[in-house]
Amino acid sequence: MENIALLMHGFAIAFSLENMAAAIFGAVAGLIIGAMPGLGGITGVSLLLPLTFGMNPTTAIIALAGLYYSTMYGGAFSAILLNIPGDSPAIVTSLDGYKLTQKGLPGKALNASTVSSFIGGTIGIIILTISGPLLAEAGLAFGAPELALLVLFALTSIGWLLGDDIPAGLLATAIGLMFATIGVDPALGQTRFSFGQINLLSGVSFIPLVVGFFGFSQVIDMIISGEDGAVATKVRIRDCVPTGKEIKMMLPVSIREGIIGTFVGVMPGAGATTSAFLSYIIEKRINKHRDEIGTGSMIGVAAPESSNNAAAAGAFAPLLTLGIPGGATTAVLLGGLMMWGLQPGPLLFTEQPDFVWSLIASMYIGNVICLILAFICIPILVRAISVSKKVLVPIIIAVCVIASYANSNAMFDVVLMLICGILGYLMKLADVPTTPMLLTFVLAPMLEQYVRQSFDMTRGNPSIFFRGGICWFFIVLILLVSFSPLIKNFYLKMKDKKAN
Amino acid sequence: MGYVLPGLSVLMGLYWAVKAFGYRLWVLNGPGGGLFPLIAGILAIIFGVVMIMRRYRTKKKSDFSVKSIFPVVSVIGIIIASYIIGLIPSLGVFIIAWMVFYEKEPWLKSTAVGIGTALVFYLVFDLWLAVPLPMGLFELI
Repeated sequence: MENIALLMHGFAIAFSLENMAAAIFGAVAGLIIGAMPGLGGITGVSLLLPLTFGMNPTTAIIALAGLYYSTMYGGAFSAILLNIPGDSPAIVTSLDGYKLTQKGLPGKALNASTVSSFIGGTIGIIILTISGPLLAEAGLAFGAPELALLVLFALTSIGWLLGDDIPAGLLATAIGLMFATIGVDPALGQTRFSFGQINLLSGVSFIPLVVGFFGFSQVIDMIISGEDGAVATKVRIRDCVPTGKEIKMMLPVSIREGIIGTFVGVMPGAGATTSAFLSYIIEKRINKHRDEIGTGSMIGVAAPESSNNAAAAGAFAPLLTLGIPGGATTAVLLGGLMMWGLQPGPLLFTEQPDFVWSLIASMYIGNVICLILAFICIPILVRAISVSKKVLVPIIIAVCVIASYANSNAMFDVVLMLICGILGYLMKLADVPTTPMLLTFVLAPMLEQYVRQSFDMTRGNPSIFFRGGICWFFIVLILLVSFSPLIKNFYLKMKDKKAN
Repeated sequence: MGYVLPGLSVLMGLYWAVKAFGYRLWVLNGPGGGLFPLIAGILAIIFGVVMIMRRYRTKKKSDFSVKSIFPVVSVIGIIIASYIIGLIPSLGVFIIAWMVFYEKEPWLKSTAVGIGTALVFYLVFDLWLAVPLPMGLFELI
C-alpha cells in the first residue's frame, strides 16, 4: 500500500507541465529514432543525454526513459514494413511481421505490435512498482554460469526455428558464429579475424550486418522476383483493426510474455533481445496456434513485442535499486544518473522518493502516450508502404546506405552492409535461412563471455555450471530441448507398434 | 549460383578452424580465443559439404539473375560518388537515376522523389542528429 501512495505522489509530480512535455518529447523522438533502420535505443539515449545536462534530474530521466521504451515500439515498424529490424529485439518481430506485410496485412501486424507492446510494457511497469527492489535481488541470483546456461538454452532452441531443413539451419548458425568471433576475444583480449582492419577490432557492427542481411538482400530479391505485391498493396485502414477473435488470441500471449519479459529484463546482460527470442520460442512450443507461428501470425508479432517492452521496464529494477545496468542503453542511463549527482543503489528509493516514483509514474504515462502516437502513425505508415515498388526500392537502398554509414560515421560500414547483403542474397539462392545466423550472431558473444567468466570464477573447475537450482533448471531444459526430437520419434514409434 | 554460399562456407570454415589454433583453445584455466572459432569452422565445413552434396544430388537450379548486380553496382557507385559530391547528394542523384533509367519513371516525378528523400536525410541526419556526413569536394569550399 505504501508503494501505491508513493506512486500517486509520483503521478502528481509527473503530471506537471514540464514533465509531461519531457515525456511527450521523449516518446515522439524515441518512436522516430526506433522506426529508423539502424538507429536504436542506445543511439537515441546517447544523443539526448547531453541535451538533458541542464535539466532538473527528474525531468531529464522522464524524457530519457520515455525515449528508451518508445524505441521499443518504433523498432518494430521497420521490421514489419521493410524487413529491416530497427534494433536487435526487433529481429524476432520481423519473422512474422514482414510475412504479414507480404500477405497484405501490414496494419494488422503493426496493431498487434503496438497493442502487445503496450500490454507488455504495462505489465513490466506494474511488476516494477510492486516489487522493484525484490526483483533486483532475484536478478542478482543470475551469475555468469546461470546466464551462460540461459543463453545456451536459447541457442539450442534455435532448432525450433530451423524448420525441416536442419543442415541449412546449422550452416546458417555456423556462419553466424563465425561473424560473432570477429574482434577482441574475451579470454586474453587478443584480436581475432580483423584482417588488419581497425573497424573490425571491436567486432562486426550489428547495424550494417542486419541491414545487409535483412534489408539489402531483400531489395535484391524484390528486383529479381519483380514482385510488386507486398509493398504496393492497397490497404484499407479498417482492415488494420484487429478483430475480437484476434484480440482474444493475442491477449493471453501478451500477458504471459509480458511477465516472462520482465523477469528476463531484470537479469544483468540478458536484456530485450534474449527475452524477445525466448518468448517466441515459448509460444512456438506451447501455443495452440503454434503451427501458424513463422508463417505470418499475429501471435509471432505479439509475443516478442510484449516481451521486449516488458524487459525494457524490468531493466530499471537493477538499475535503480542496485546501480547495475542490464544492457548498453541502461548503462548510458546509469551514466546520466551519475551526471545529475544521483547515486543508484538500495538507498535511492528512500533518499530520492520524488525522483524514483515520478520516474515510475512517468512510465505509465509514457506508455499511454506511445500507444496513442503509434495508433496515429499506423495509417500513415500503411499508406507510406502502399507506394509503388518503383519508388520504394531506390529509397530502401538509400536508407540501407545512410543507416549503415550513420552507425559509426564510417564508409567501412557501408561496404560491410554491401558484403552482408550479397551474402544474404547468396543464402537465399542456396535456401539457407538468415534468421538462425542473426540470432547466433547476437547470442554467441554473450555465451563466450559468460563461459569464460564462469571458468575464471573457479579457476577452470566446470562444477560451477551445476552449482544451484537455477543451473539445474536450465540444464534439464537444454537436455529436454536437445533430445525432444528423439523422444518424440521414440514415442511415435511405440505408438505405431501398439496400433499394429 | 546455389553452390557459391556452401563453397564459400567451407573455405571460410577451413580458415577459421586453422587460425583458431593460433588463438589457443584453452588458456589460463578456461576456454581461449580459439575455441569458438574452431567450433564455428568445423560446423561450417561439415554443413557446407552436406549442402554441396545435397545440391549436387538433387541438381536443383537457383534463380540467379543478372538484375541482382544492379543494386550492388549502385551502392559501389554511391560510395565513390560520396567522395566527390558528398553522401546526401549522391543518394539523391542515385534515386533520380534509378527511377528514370531503370524504372522508366517520368523525370519530374523522379526528381521530386530524389530531392525530397535527400532533404529528409539532410534534416534528420545532418541537422538533427549531427552525423558528420561525407561532403566530398564541397568540404573544400
